[in-house]
Order: sequence, then structure tokens, then C-alpha cells
Amino acid sequence: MNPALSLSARCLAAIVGGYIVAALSSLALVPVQMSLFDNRLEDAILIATMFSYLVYIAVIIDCFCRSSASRAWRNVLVYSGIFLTVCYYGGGLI
Amino acid sequence: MKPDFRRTMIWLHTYTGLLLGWLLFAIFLTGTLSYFNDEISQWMQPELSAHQQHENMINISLARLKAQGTDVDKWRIDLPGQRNNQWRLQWQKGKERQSLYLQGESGEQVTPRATQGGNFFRTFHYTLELRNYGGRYIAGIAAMFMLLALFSGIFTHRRFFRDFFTLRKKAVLKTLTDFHALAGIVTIPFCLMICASALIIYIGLYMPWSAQHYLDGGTRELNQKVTTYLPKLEPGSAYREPISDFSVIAGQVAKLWPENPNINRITVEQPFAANGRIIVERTRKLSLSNKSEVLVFSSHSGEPLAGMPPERIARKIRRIFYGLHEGHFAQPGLRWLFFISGLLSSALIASGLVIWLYKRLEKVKQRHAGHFIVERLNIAGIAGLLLAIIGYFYANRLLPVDIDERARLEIGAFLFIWLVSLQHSLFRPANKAWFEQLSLASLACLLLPVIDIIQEPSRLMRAIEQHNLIYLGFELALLVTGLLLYKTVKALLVKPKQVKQKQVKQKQVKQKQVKQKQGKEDKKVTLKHKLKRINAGSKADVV
Repeated sequence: MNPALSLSARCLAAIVGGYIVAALSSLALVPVQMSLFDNRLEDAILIATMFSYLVYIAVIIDCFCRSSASRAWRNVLVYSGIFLTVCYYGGGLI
Repeated sequence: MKPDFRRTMIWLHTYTGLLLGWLLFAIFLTGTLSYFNDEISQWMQPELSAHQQHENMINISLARLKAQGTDVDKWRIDLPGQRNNQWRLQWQKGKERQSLYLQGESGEQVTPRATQGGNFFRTFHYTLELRNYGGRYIAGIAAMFMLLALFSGIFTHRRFFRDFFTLRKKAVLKTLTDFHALAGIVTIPFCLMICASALIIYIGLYMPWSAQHYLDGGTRELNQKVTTYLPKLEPGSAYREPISDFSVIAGQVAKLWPENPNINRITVEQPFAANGRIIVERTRKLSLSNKSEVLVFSSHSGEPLAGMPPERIARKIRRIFYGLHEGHFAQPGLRWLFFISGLLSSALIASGLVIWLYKRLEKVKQRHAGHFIVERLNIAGIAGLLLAIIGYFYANRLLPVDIDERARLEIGAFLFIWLVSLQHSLFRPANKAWFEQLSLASLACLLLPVIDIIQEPSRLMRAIEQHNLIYLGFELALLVTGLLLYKTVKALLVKPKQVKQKQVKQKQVKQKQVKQKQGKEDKKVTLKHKLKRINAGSKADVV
């Protein structure tokens, strides 16, 4: 692939994809916390929101560690999928 | 795979830095200045003399506030502390708020000039004067970019420690590159802390999804749920005369906060009602969190009431990030450390921008529009911002004291000077624009204390008499800045010609060598060549 294109795709995966994964994680970690640690809802939301920044940075690093842009995007999709699933099945806990 | 990764990191570092570099420089410089927010405000309101808290202060304030009538809902007394000298009274009727300043032993009223003071830099560094147009989002994105640039910057160095201990002085560009690496390494912890805490402060703006999904009221409801408040006051309570002698409460405060009973602010809610209460706030320099500790007393008997319930841990963590960012806890030594780290980070950003440009100008024969834009924005973004900041101080001293909208006009002057500097940089050759703007800034810095003395000699005399280190320190800081800028200008004046010639020569020699080698050795890579490449490459491919 054209290197400039590959790089742009990678950056897009890191910045936009990373933000989406982080936002999804802030949703998904709320039911997880509530069932594992018995947190109150508002605490769980605040903690999940703060934690999502770490997820964001981790995803960004991950995107630049992959050997190609398509793999970076694949990973972003996989992570989003995992968090969405947790959200979907965890929704009943609240 | 590995070198590829490094190359992407270098690319990322270069372009995240370039894209928002000027914005980041402005944010970092004004943010750094706001570490001395109170001190700057003090200098900008010379009508208020320095004073310590004295015992009568609170009683005088209470008497003055009582005279404002019995239908007032709220009183507030701000007391001077170590860093600020404002003794301010505020009272509120419904939504209408009024205030006045006092000073001296007996509390005469003074009217200081209207100004935003150092607070302007504080608000500018995160709202960019665009509060209603997404300024805080832009600042947040800039913080994220800074984190990215920082992180990728670490990867650009193959030999971290060797780069750290290198400072080549022969050519300006090399010195700058080495300085960039050095400053970067020194300020990594500071920048990480500042950017991460900045993102946490406005977490509700940047990551609202979870709260919006789980709560009907969104982030506002979340904040209300995790923050603790004092119980709401029931209206329609009977009339009771508030206390006029504060010593009842002062004794209790001294007992409850034995190690440091300094009071920062006193708020009286419903002063003339039977259920009215006095909220005593301690100075914030004693805790890491940005939530001040408070004690609550009854407004007519002075008996202690139930205090603030403790907050949830998650909220406290956010408060601590907030407190870390603001640095209210920092004692003078630590404050200077923060300030110098901030200045170094600003210099880091500025040097990065300059390096980007000159690294490329060296290589290309034909400039294109990108080079032109970066060059001009460098001048306006770095030298222009300095000029604008100094212009803001000038506006504070030179605008008539009783003019309407004075505080707005000062900010207008700041923005206007910045704009003029941009225009100036567009129409002048780059070297001359740099030279003219920096020397003007230097001259302005050196002249401002002189103008201040000529305008009102008594100010300086009073500051010396009262040992007002804050006032004198500010003037001294101006002089030092002026001298530093002068040095920079001088360095710029001497070097460009010599350096350019040298660099051109070096380049020619290098090209010859490389050509000869290529001819001799064809594609064989000898050990010597490898060594040379590593030596030349360690810094060169950073940018």
C-alpha cells in the first residue's frame, strides 16, 4: 500500500478508532464494575470514564505497533466488538 | 518491523507537533504564567497595598456587610493571604451581586482599576477566549496531541542517554536539536502530569457517553451525585441578628485546625435568618485536592453545625488531578519548579517548531507554500505571543483608570497586538521579522518597570518600604526576561550568515565524501561507513 495512505489510515485508526473504543469501554466497564466490585452506579460511571483515557492511550499505542494499517483497524474493530458485547449482555445487571 | 515502527513514531512526532504546535505553545506559556496568577494580579492592581491578615479584619467586614441591609441573601469575605492582597467583600440579593475592596487597619474602601489580572491567562489557556465556541474542546484535543507527541518523541531516540548528554554548540540548528531532546527528556514527567490532569479536569466534556447512557441528566446529574453539598437552607426562617464579634468562631477554628488556622474565605448564607450559617474556608495550599476544607457555624450564635459530608473516592481522585494541575499546594520553591518546568516545556515546543522548518529549508532549493506558512506562524506564534503578553501588561498601565469596559479593553489589546504581529510577519522577510519582533519585546520588557516608576514613583517606594517581594519580583522578572530576549536577539544577529556558510560547506563536503564512497565501495557497507551513518543519523533522523 502507498505509505502515506497507510500512515493516514493508521492515524485515523488510532485517533478516531481509539476514541470510539475508549467511549465504548466507558460504557462497558460500568456493568462489569457493578457486578464484580459492587460499586454504586455514579462511582462506577466516573471510574469507567476516567479509565477510558487509559484505554484510549493503549489503543493508540497498539495501532502504531501493528505491522500494517489493516491490522490496526482489525484490532480496533475487535476491541469495539468485545466492549459492545459486554455492554449488551451487561445491560441487564443495572 | 522494528525500524519501521520507529519511522512511524518519528513521523507521528513531527506532524502531531507541527499541526498544533503554535496552539500548544500559547497554551503552555499562558498556563505557565498562571502559576503566578495571584502575583500577576497583585502587580496589575497597584492601588491595593500589601497587607497581612489582622484580627479586626473580619469584624470590620461583618459590620460593613450588615450596613448593606437585611434583605441580603449572601455575604462573602475574601481575606488576603500569602500570595494575594485582596480584601474583598461581596453581597448578593437574589441574583444581583455587588462587591467592594477594603484596605488598611481600619478598612477604608479602595477602588482598584478594573482588570482581569493574571486570571486572564488562566482562562485563556483552556478556553482560548472561545468559551462558547468549543475552546475547551480545542484545548483538550491539543492536550491529547501533546501526549501523543511526547510519547512518540521518546521513541525517536535510539540512544536515550547519549542524546541527553549531548549539546553541540557549533551550529545553531544542532544546538537547537540537542536542546530539544534535552528539554524533552527533562520535562517528560511534568508534561505527562499536566496533559493527563488537564484531560481529567474536563472529563465530562471529553467523555460524556457513559454518564449520558446510564443517567437521564447526563454529566450534570453525575456531578451532582458524586459531589457533596451542605444541606439546603429552608426559606422563611425567623429573623435573628447575626454575630458581630467573630472571636467566638475564631477560637473554635483555631482549635479544630491547630496547625494552620489561616482562613481564606468566609461565606455567610442567609445572614439574618435563624437557620443562617457561616462557612469558613481554609486556604487551599494545605491539600492536594482542589476542594477546600470548610467548617460550618450558626450565623447568630456561632455554634458549630454539621460540616460537609465526605466525598466519594472516585470524585476525590478527580479532585486530586485537578489540584495537581492547579498547584495551589505548591510552596514558593515548588511553585518556581513548576514554573520553570512550564517554561522549559514551552521552549521545547517552540524549538521543535523552529527545527521543523530549518531542517527542511536546508534540504530544499525551492520553497513551497507550507514552508512559508510555517515560517510566518512561527514568528507570530512565538515572538508575537510574547509581544501580546507584554502588551497586555502595558495596556494595564497605560489605559485610563476610569474608562468603561477597561478589563475587556486590556484583553482586546492582547489580541490586537497578536494580530498585528501576524500581519507584520507576513509582510517582512523572515529574518527581519524575527529580529524586529524579538527586539521590540525585549525593549518593551526593559521599559515597563521604568514606565511604572515614572507613572507613579510612590508605588516602588512603598513596595520597598513594605518589603513587598511580589511587586519587586515581578519587576525583576520583567527585567530578566528583557535581558534574555536581548541575548537571543544578539545571538540571532551574529549567527545566521556564518552558520549558513558553514552549513553549506559542510553539506558539500559530506556529499563529496558520500559520492566518493559510493564510487569506491559500490554497495558494500563497511564498518566505517556504518559507524559514520550511525553518528550522523542519531540526531539527524529525529526530525
